[in-house]
Amino acid sequence: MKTQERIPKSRIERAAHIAGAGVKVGGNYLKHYAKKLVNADVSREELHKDNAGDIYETLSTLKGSALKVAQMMSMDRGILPREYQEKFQLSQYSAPPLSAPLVNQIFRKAFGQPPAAFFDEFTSKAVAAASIGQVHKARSKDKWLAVKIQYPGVANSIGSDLRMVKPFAVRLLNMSKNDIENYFDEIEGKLLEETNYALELKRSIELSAACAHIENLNFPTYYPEWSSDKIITMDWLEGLHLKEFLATNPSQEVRNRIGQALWDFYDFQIHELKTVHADPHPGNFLFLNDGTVNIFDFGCVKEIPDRFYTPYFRLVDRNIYKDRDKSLAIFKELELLHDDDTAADIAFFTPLFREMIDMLTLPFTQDTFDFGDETYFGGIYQFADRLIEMPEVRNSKKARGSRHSLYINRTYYGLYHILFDLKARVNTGKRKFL
Amino acid sequence: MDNSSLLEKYIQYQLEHGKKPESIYVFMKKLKKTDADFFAHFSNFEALDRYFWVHVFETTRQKLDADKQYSDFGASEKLSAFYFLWTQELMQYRSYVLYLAEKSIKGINPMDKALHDFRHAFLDYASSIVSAGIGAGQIADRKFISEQFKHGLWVQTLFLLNFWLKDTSKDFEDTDAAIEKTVNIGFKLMGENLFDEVLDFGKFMFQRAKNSFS
Repeated sequence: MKTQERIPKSRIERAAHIAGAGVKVGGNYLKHYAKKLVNADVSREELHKDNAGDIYETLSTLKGSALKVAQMMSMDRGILPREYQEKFQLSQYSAPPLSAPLVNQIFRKAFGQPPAAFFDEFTSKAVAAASIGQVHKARSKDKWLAVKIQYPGVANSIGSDLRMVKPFAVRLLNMSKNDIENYFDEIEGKLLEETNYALELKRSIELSAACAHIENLNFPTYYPEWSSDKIITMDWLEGLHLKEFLATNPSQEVRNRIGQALWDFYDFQIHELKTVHADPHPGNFLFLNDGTVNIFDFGCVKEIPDRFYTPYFRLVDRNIYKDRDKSLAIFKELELLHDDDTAADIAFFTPLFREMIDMLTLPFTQDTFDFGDETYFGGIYQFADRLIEMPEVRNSKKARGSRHSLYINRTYYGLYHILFDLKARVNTGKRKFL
Repeated sequence: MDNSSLLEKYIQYQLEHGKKPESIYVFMKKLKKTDADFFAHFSNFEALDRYFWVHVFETTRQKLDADKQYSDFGASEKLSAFYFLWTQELMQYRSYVLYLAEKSIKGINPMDKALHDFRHAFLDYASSIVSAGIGAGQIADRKFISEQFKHGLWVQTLFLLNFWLKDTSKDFEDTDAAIEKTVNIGFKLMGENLFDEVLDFGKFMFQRAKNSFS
């Protein structure tokens, strides 16, 4: 891993970094078209690869919320060209560490004493990085603990970070400023929540307890006495990250069992609790060879309002399309279509949305679903690529989709992606939707 | 009455009255003591002004020395630990330091006579940090220049002091971030070759200028 030479902190410095990527992306397009003049066969893949590299380089020198936004983009497989995602996924794992004296200081401010006063052992260096903090391993008597510590000043920098990523988003998503605003509000709210470790602790304890009955899931015990608004202490969890886990060649049976556990976990949260762990990126799970998963990090939790839940899941019922007025009304409720759309807009977008929804909700309509089905995922990617190529889509400045869909779609993308990597066959159990 | 309790009373007086006591006599009379009790410890108020900064510094040093972990730290970590604890120690005097900063037109600045003794004590400490850094290879040993590093650390100290005074973040966590970042940058500057290269370039330009005029 290339170590970072320093953390750009001041706003101007960060802005300069972001602008750097913008310029480079522009340059890549120029290069692309220049190449194309000479050789018509140059693929867009190559262009995307160049762009992804430069954007990644830039974002990876940032910390905190810019890193988080990179993470979000990387989750949205299928919305961004594939070449971007591989790169962005790397950004989930690296950030420069806090010094030991600063860790002591944060502890002292929270509990009046450095970690050495509370634990029999405490690693002075971080053993893992979280996107807005780092994790230390500690021991109290015979118990091993994970102590997550937040970088100071993260909450304060979120607003300005997002303002700087915004022009980027405008360019990548090709959306009007106002619509982007609406989405960014949602993201900013969630990011601010993520900096509130006291809230995270409360949610972790509540959601872990609520989901404890689901088979093959393990949740750590949390320790409020060693937690504060900047520190969360929980049991140390063993296990492998998804990539390493897959490298051990787990049997189909083990992969199915894990896939089922994850599916049940999300199904229960979305439909019963209406509150969901909305951060299913592979770094938040540890997989074990006995077919169980360790789940932690409830930093990003989305509460699903009924006015979104009801229309969203009514679309699973294919019969809804038989009634044109009803399905149009639902599209409008979900803000996929707007009152000021022209008849031509509606005629263009309706079949597209239908196709998309049919594809994404396919697992819900069957008793069992094979997430290892490459043609299914290939179809989703192809559809997304097609979408990007359509001038009507590219030139539509309107946001299509409610702000709530942002985190819910992200949750499903993340879940599907993990299940696809696991090649799991899952009992999706045909839930009755309204 | 000892040095530190005299200091406490002195600070208290200024915070309550918004100015220094008229005279040592007036001040001691308020405490129901005589001038002699004062002169046994300090020659004048200025000495007490200087003592304030030294006192905070020495308290910080003593607490650091009592900390087992501190002795295991490398040079940069020692310095960070010092700044963290020092700003923490200053916290109980925050109103007073704000009052001092308001009194002076330029805020707390390097020319301030009250900082004189603290500066000397700090420079001694800074030299020990720099030589530990050189010993561990964290800081490049450069003729003449290494000697000046401690003065850079003094400037950093005053910068952090003024940063802390203006800090409005919750729990002063921005001050923590500023300490972490300035110490990292400081050690990078003292360690990397940038300095040497600038110096080398300067010499080169100087030679050229000399040659073209001769």
